[in-house]
Amino acid sequence: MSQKQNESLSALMDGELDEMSLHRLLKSDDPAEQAAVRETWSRYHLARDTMKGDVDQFAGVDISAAVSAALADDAPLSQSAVASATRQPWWKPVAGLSVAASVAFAVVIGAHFTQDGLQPEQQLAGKTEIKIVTPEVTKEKGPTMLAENPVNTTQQKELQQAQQRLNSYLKQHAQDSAIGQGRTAMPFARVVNFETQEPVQVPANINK
Amino acid sequence: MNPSIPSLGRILVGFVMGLSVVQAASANQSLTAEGWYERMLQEAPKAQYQGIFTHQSGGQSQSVEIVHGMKEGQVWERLLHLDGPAREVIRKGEQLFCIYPDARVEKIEQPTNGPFAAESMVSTQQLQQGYEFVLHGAKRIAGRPAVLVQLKPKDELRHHYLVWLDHQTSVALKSELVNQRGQVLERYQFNYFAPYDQWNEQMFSPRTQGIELAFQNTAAAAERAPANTDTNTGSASTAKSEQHAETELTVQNWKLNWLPTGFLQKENTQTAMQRAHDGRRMYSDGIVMFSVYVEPAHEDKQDGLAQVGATVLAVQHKQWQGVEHRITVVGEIPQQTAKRIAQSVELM
Repeated sequence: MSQKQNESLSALMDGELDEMSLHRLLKSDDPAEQAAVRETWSRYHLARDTMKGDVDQFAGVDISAAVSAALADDAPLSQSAVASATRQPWWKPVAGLSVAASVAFAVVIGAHFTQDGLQPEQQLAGKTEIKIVTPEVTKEKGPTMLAENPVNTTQQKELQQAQQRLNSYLKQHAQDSAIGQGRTAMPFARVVNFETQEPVQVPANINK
Repeated sequence: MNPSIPSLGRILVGFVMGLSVVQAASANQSLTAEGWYERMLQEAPKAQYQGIFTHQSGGQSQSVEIVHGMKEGQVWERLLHLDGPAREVIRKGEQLFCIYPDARVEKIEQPTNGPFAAESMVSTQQLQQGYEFVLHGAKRIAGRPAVLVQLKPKDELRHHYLVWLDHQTSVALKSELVNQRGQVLERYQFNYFAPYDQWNEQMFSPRTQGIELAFQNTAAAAERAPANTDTNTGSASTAKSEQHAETELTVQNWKLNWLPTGFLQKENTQTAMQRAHDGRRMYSDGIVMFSVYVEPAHEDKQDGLAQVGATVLAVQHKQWQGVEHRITVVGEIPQQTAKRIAQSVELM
């Protein structure tokens, strides 16, 4: 692995890797290189968790192969399924709250892991993000593995509540920051935006 | 209680020192970055201007028309969103109304002791704890001569803040929040900016048809407030959160064991809504803020991080007296900072 790739991985862990570099990092056709990237990724996490004293029984357990296999087994998703999936997003994003983040949350719930160390932390909300993180999920595999199977209606309700709560916190924070900032009402552009913006929808034909 | 809560004395000292910077600066033609920043705090609210600015955040962008003025020591402002559904914000002093496309009006409650006055107490002294001031020479924004003041973070716990100030009025013509990898997270920028001389009250009337706003004359009346019950969704949510507080009183007390340098708790921005929600506190470093919410979690116990434009949300759960509690940090800070703050919450 190149020094550049190491740096990119490190940045990704901090949730601060830009889109171009992430593409470059994930694009490699060389299986050996891919394996090296995966291994380094796990190692970095283990190192970080160890430093933080967060190592537990899941340390060293690699679920990536199982996830890939499950994705491969999933039937291609029909258009209508995509439509229904986008009509009722799980952790309905407001104001550009990234779908990537909601998928990350869903993965955590679905897998019954509550440690967010397992998810790559996503940087920067917005549509660009969706293109990077969820192509396999949205393109043809569908959210079934991540979403429908492990989650019953109670959990769906909880997710909706979580979403509502986060939205209201977001709005309240924006409002109070705008007031607190005080010199001008310009930051209210942010508040009013949170209130009225349509949730980000995942286009059905999203492609790399 | 939180040991990092500032004393009033400390704020006042900062304020007085800040004032002296301004006085020294205005006597001097060649201002420092700090001097320009102080001049903005002092002069920009008094300026009379109208214009159009763009707000960009998380891949979204929108244009907003603004009219700004000052009457009898109170800032008057009208904002109109030009893209998509028409939304307006009308402000007279500390009274502020949001008008939504469905003609719904929300009154934003203001604290009695005046956050607008309070905020001018943000001194370069406080800011210098977290940021280094850098002055970049002559710039041009919206066709006007400007200077760029950069607030460079002294640690990895916060973002960069860049602000371009109009030479003539000291108004911020452009501002950016940039993360430490150089990505712009949020930007406000005037595309058109024009100072005006003639004060005209009409300029501040809502453009939305058939809207009457219940502005009150004194701050005291504003405090008694939600009289305009027909329009006030703010009062509805206040009632809701009061009820919330009654049923969720199990959070006795909590503190942050870690607060990033330069951040102080904002006591005086507490609205009635906030006071009703005991588990809520806000902190500011003079540029950005974050809010911390602590509450018992009976369901939905997953941790996570999400980002909306410049704003990050970090959710973390902790056990306290056998009850799971949820800590939510919301603010314009890096994800790692938000997470660390959330992890540092100690329930007592």
